[in-house]
Amino acid sequence: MGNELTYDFGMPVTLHYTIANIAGTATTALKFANGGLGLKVPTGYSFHPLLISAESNAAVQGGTATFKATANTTVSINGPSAALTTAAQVAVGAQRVGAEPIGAGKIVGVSVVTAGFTPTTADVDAILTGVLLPA
Amino acid sequence: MANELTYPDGLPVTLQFGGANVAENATTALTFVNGGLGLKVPTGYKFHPLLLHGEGNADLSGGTAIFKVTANTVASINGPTATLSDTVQVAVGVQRPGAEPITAGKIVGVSVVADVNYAANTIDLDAVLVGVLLPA
Repeated sequence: MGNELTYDFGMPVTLHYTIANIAGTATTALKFANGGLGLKVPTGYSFHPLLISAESNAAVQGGTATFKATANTTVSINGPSAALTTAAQVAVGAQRVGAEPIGAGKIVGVSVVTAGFTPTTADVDAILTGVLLPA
Repeated sequence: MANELTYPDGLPVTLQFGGANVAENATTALTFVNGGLGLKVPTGYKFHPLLLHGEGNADLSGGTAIFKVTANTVASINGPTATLSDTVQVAVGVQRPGAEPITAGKIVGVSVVADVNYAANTIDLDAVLVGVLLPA
């Protein structure tokens, strides 16, 4: 069991991902500013995604874009999600600790699942917050 | 003793740094997305680096790149490190609180030490540094 990250309720971590020119209908991995795919979970810990926020720099004209946490690019089922629609240019979702932790050695990323999303020139920022807890 | 940042075990902070086309045989300071060099530690506090993640946007074809925490660009000795090599495109290291805290007024940054065999120098790097601010 890891014990360096000594925090009563887990060590909070906040990560910023981006994507430019979001695809209309696809599943696409977002990246760090220089192309990195995400945080590697250290040995002895699990990462519990708790909050995901997404924001487009342009108004959504149609379709949906749903943002979810990923583990080695596999989209989580029970993690937090945030969906952009014509009614929501900014969205946020939250989830409890333990819903779907990501194991040591895996890469914590964010993907967006789009369906008929327009405009495809929109750029999007995503914030993922979670905690590292001893495994 | 400072007491604004009232968290029982310190105030957790996550910082993201990056660098494009990092050179071989050199130590390069990574920066924030708009060129900033890091976080200034407020008066009355120390920053304890606990986790350092390093990643390239392409696999190294040779050499190593060692990510280190810095205080006013001086690399820490006992802080967390992460090392990329031709078989490791993503790496992470952890360290306990108190190992080498960074004092008030200093800039908390991240540097990459690339050895002479590091390749390719067209690779872009991202780093994530997590730590806590504790009263000094």
